[in-house]
Amino acid sequence: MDAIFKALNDPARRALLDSLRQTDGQTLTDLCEQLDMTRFGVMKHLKMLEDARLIVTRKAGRFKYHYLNALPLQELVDRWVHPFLRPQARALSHLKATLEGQTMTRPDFTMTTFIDCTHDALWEALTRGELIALYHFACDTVRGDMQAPGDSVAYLYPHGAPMLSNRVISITPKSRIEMAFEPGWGGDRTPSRCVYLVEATASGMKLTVEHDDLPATQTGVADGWARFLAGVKTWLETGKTHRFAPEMAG
Amino acid sequence: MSTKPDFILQTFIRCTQAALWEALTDVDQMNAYHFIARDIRWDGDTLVMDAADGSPMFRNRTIRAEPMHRIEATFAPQWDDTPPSRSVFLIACEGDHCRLTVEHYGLHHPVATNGVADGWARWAAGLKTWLETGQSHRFAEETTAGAKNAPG
Repeated sequence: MDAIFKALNDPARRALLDSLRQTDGQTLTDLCEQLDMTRFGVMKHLKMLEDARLIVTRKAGRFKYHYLNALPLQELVDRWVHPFLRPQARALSHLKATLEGQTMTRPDFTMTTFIDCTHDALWEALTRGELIALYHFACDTVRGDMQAPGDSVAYLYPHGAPMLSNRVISITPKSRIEMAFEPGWGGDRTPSRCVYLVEATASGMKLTVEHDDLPATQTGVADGWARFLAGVKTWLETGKTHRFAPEMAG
Repeated sequence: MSTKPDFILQTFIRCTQAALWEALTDVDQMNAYHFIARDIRWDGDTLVMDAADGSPMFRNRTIRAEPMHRIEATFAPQWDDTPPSRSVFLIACEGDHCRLTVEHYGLHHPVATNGVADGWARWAAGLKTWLETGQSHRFAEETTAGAKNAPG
C-alpha cells in the first residue's frame, strides 16, 4: 500500500486519476493537454500510477490507452477508511435516532418472549384461528387463518362481539407476519400495524411482537400483548388453556 | 432517584402469589430457572450470582422488600464498570394467575437498555416455564441444552 499512498501524494497524479474517472481510456496526448507540464513529466507520473496499480494500460496500434483501476483504492478504503469511519457513523446515526425520539429505528412498542416448543408448533399457534382461540385471554372464538396477504383473522368475545381483526399485509412462512391491527374496542379504532417475528434459537423459540403507528389514545395494547404472549407460551409449554384475562371488578 | 422506569416488562404466570414470591426469593429455585447465572446465593441482603465460568456476574442488594408484593434491589453487574441501576418487582394476584411487573430505573444508555431488555425477557420466560411446568429450562443466548429447538 506504500506505493498507493506515494502515488496519491501529488496533485498532478490526483488530477490524472480524476481525469480518467471522468473519461476512461485516454491516450498520453489526451492527458498531456490537461496538464501544464512536459510530455515527459506526464509519462513519469503515469508510470508511478501504473506501478501502484491505480491505472492499467492497453496498447492498440500506435496508441497506449490509460484506464482507471479502482480495486487498489477500494482495498485501501476497506483497510484504512471504513474501519475508522464505521464506529463514528454508527455513533452519529445512534445520536440522530436518540435526538429524534427513536421513532426512526424503534417500533412504538415491542415485546419478546421465549418458548420451549418446536418451530412448527409456534407458527401454527400464531396463524390458525382455532388454535388462537385456545389460548387468547379474551376471545374463545377466533375465525380465519393467516397464510397469505389479505387473509384476515377475527377475534370474537364470548358474547359474539368483535374484539379485533388482524389482516395479513405480508407473510414469510415460519419467520414473519406483518398485519393490520384493527381494534374493535375503545373509542379510538384507528388501525395500526403489528409484526410477529419468529426465530429458532439454541435454547428455544424467540417470539417478538412489534407494534407501530399506535394512536396515543388507544390504551391497553401493551397489557393485551403481555397477556397474549403469556397465554401462547402457557398453551405451548403445558398444553393447557389458560386465559390470562384481567380480573373482573368485584 | 429517577421516578420514571427506563424499562418495564410485564408477564402473567399461572401460579399462586406465594409460589411466585418463593421463586423470586429462593436461590435453589433461581438456580433452576435463571437463563445464565450460576451458583446464585444470598450474602446477607445481597443476591450474588456467578457466570458459568465462575466469574462474578451480579451483586444485587435488596433495598426494600414487602413480602408477597414488592422487591426493590440494586442491579449491579460485576463484569464491567456499569454503574449499578435499580430494579423493582411488583407482584399482583389476578384470581388464578399472577401479574409480575419488572421496572428498571437508572439505565441511561439506550444500548444498555437493549441488552437489559433481552436479559429480562429470557429471565421472565424461564421463571414462567419453571412455575408452570416445573421444568428447568434456561433460555440462554447460546446453549447446547434444549437441542430440540436447534435451528436447522
